Amino acid sequence: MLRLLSLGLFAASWEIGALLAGPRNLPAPMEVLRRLALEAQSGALFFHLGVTLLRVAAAFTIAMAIGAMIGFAMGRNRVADRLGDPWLILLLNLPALVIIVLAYIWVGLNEVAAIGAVALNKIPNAIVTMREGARALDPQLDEMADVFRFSFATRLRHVLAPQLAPYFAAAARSGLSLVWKIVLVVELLGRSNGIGFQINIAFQLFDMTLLLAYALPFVGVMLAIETFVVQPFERNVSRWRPRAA
Amino acid sequence: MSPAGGRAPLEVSIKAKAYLSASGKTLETLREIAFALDKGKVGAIVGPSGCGKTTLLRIVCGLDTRFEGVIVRPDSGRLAVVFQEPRLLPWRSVEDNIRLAAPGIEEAELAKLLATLGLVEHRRHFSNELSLGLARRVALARALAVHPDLLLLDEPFASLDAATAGGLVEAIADLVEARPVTTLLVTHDIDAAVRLADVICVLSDRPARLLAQIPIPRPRRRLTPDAEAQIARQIAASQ
Repeated sequence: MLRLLSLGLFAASWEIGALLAGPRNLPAPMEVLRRLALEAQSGALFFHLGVTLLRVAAAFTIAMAIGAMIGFAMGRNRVADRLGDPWLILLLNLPALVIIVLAYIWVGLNEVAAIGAVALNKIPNAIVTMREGARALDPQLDEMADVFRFSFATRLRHVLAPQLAPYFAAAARSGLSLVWKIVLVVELLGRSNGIGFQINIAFQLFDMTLLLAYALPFVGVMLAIETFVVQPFERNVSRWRPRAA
Repeated sequence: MSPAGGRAPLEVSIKAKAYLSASGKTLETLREIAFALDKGKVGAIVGPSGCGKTTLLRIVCGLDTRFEGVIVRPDSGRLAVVFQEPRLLPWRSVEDNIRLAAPGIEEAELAKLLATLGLVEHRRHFSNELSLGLARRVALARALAVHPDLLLLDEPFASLDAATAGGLVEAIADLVEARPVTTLLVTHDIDAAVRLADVICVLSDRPARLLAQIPIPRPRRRLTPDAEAQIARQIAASQ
């Protein structure tokens, strides 16, 4: 209920803002909706949205898989941590734009470079979070699993995974928001389709209505993923914790 | 205590155990501790707190291998430990915690074990919803469910109120009586040691040495209070 109220407040302030700023700077919500419907009818919206979401999914999956493995190794192994740390700091502090431009120059203006660049931007964050998770693993439970001779599969599923799940969820959540922001930049710089590409066109034409008509559905999809996938996952993995009063 | 000929299922012979403290000093925790335990017998290790009892237990169960000496464990070597912090998986139910350690356990046996330990109504609870006393009972159920050849109990009565601890002593006594398991119990509670053990090993202050081995006459559960008091005095005198 509160969420709906907050959304209504957002729409109202947009309407008022549009009145004050004029349609050139901020088109009214209805105007944007009409344009959105038009783009949806032609199929262009779904095509570009689909392409962008595929890139988000690919980059996110690659980044989480690689980041989780490296992070786990660095959290468990001192040598790996020492060796990997300088690389990690370098990657963490390298601006996204530098990675994207370098990827396009070295690999070429293609899909591999685009997805690789996005993944590479996300990997260090995933590593840092998962490394914390691996460091926080309870050695007492490890010993217990040793004594009772848990099989590798049991250990993974019942001892390690539940301890790492909150860190994985945190990495996934921050990763998703990072990935979808960077995907648009990658598309703007070197792809000929996707939401980022459409926003580039809107920018060149100073077409605010088109820009918002593409940006809003994208935000909507991301909100839906957050609400219906990420949050239920977090709730599920922490259901054994006593509820806060 | 070791029988003539034949190997006892548990033989402990530690020459020395030391570790490097954070300040770089070498601290000796154990010195010259040797004893053996016959099959199906209960041994208790008592001694002042901080003397290295838990270190000794970690060496016996193989979690600590940096020591001078030899440990001989039972042949088939199935081990079970009830840790001082119960070390249950908080994200799994009581039943799952037991089943994960003993995947082959029959429903009837599980039900009986839960009933004996008064855990029936907690079967589906997450283990972090339990009090310490109940969690220790679950840890005990888990340990017995694997049919261990050697059962190790690390201060199972610590931080429990007298009534809860007393109940747990009785429960362990019943279970060990019903199905003899070679058991090593570490405790600073001399009364509990007298009630449970066939033999009590008394350790000195750090570095811990073996001061005395005191056999407890059988049947131990029918000891008169006088006899118990006498054994307690004997232990105190050897310390």
